[in-house]
Amino acid sequence: MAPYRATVSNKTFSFKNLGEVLAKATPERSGDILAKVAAQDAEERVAAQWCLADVPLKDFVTYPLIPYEEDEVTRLICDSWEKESFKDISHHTVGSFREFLLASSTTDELLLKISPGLLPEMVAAVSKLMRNQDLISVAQKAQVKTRFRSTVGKKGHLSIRLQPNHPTDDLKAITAAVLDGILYGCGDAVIGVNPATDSLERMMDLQKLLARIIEGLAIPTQSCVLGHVTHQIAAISKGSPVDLVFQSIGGTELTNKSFGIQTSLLKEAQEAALSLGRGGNQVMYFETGQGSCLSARGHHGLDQQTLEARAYGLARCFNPFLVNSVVGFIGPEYLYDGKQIIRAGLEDHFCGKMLRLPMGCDVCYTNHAQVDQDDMDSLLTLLGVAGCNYFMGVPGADDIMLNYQSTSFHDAAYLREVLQLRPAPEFEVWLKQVGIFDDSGKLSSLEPQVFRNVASTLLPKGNS
Amino acid sequence: MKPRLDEWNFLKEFTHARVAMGRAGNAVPTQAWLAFKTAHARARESVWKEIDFQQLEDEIRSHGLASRQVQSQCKSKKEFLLEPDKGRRLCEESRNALQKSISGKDIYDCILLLGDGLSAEALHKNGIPFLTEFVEVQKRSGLKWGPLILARYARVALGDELAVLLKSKSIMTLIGERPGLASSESLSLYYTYQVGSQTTDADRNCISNIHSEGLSPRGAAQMAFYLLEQSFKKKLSGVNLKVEYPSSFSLPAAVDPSR
Repeated sequence: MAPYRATVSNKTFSFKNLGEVLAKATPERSGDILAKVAAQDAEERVAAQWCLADVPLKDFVTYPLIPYEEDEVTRLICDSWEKESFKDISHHTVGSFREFLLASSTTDELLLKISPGLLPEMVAAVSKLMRNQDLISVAQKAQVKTRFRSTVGKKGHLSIRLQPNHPTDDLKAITAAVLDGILYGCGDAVIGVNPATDSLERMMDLQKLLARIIEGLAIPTQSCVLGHVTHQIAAISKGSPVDLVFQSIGGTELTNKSFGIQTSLLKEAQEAALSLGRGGNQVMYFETGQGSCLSARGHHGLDQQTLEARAYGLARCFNPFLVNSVVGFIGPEYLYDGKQIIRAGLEDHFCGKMLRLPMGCDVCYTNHAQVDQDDMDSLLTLLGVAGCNYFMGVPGADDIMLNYQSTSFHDAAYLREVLQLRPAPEFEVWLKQVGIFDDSGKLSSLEPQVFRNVASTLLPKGNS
Repeated sequence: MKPRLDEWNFLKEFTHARVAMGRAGNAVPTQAWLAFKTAHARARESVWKEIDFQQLEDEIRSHGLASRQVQSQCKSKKEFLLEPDKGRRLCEESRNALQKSISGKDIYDCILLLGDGLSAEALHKNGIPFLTEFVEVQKRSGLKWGPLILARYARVALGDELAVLLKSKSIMTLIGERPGLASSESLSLYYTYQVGSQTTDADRNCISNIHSEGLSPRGAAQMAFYLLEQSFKKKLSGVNLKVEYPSSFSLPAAVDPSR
């Protein structure tokens, strides 16, 4: 293996392998310090970045960070890598690859063409040499569109996952939160409930409820109940209406084992959902997040951002409809404060988009982290500029079941207005039909009578 | 500030989520915004509250039960927040004390561990009500229960070490959840069968949101009963154990959410 070293301020720093270069070149975050893989100080960090800038992209092909024989995620990533697409960029170092990505001659068509030749580790590597501005300007070039009943990710459009969770999975409470969100033009990415219990019966009740709402109101959107994938497969076999199949995934086999999955199970779930033929061939919904590998003791001595990119390498083998990192959910042990969460959110979106994933983001935080709404506004706005496909819509940003703060229905209206973004096209037509949006495409100042009439059949007043 | 009326105010009859907030332009009205910040300030404070062992032990004793106290390797709340691994291991002193207490031939079916986790407040508020209900479950289960353990600075996986040390077939851990805005007093119950060094999160079952606006302590205890019964019958836990509740059993909320 090539020697990895760099000299900064007359001091020579050497790194024992590519994994160490990557880890030490990573902008500071608490999870890498916890894993004892972070740079000792700013000088060592920048030395690692100098070193990384000279690493040929070919090195990532020659030296897999986690051996092929040891890890099925590595196997999937390597087996799906396309040498032919790599040819156009095989002469680059990480440093010159950054400049290539930023060049105005590098268009979305070109990004699309090279994408199958990119390994997730290459994408993670280049992100470590990029400042926030770079992560935004390159990501916003990439348009990754997906389609189920609505089309998500079109340029100039912004979708929202409506997240109406409730601590006892109460069906009326969830219905109330769904209606509230729709009134703000949310729900065009998916109406997705995280169930509070692991009861299969209750999960199927939720699936039926969401199907009833979507079909009853003829909303061009899709549903998902985010239970364990084995539950969703069981629900499908019992005839429950499943649009999207969800699973949390990580960047290593060990991490996925701690989630109770392996790639064959994801394949089985995908086939089961496709067999229902409810809306197209993109049926998977994945969530990820930096730090999950360390938390599961499956990090192989690598930094959490590189591992996160590997999760995207896994995701892209399943042609997903939605993928988002839940960036601030894991807690301050992994991303300490607003600065670290904002950086991570931009990295995740960039890396996902380079691998042509339909990236959204759960811009969020927990109450034991050093973060507040101001940080969320910053990340939300930055990711909006970066062309993020979708965000979460939670009533008042307060998830009363998962006990964390995400983004709200109001936030969606704010971002669409300041950045002139519109909902998914099919959904926007529907919003106008039912009077929630006015003809100019803004939230109507009038009471949406049409919607109100249909909504009252779902949740009759005085019948609580 | 007076609250603004939202045309859809009736949605509030169905949920305590922040629905029908009204809007000022696209933003949340001032009163609702300050209410949110108030809840955030309270939740932030509650993260730092310490567990009061003495008080808990007194309450447990008043119900005729005995308990043992342990501490993880964390020495402070800050260490607990930043170094999760230390919260998953017993400190030397606790380990030694527990080791001395075991007779060697005792093999338990299950141990109940009460840990502070991210909300000591949750354990103080809802721990004893749960325990009162759970005592019945313990009797009905027909299992051999080990000592009741109280743990400071505990993460869920602290129970793994305890179970191995005390030679228990399974472990049930009642632990404070991260405080949310709506509730700082939420508990979760985690359960693992056949704990060992290979145990991962996929081997755990969880009953969450045990608090006054969520699942009632009684409901949680009943669910725990079915969980234990089916786990011991099938000899497994985690994602492969699909707990089935009798059709007569509806998930009981602490309060009727449609009140």
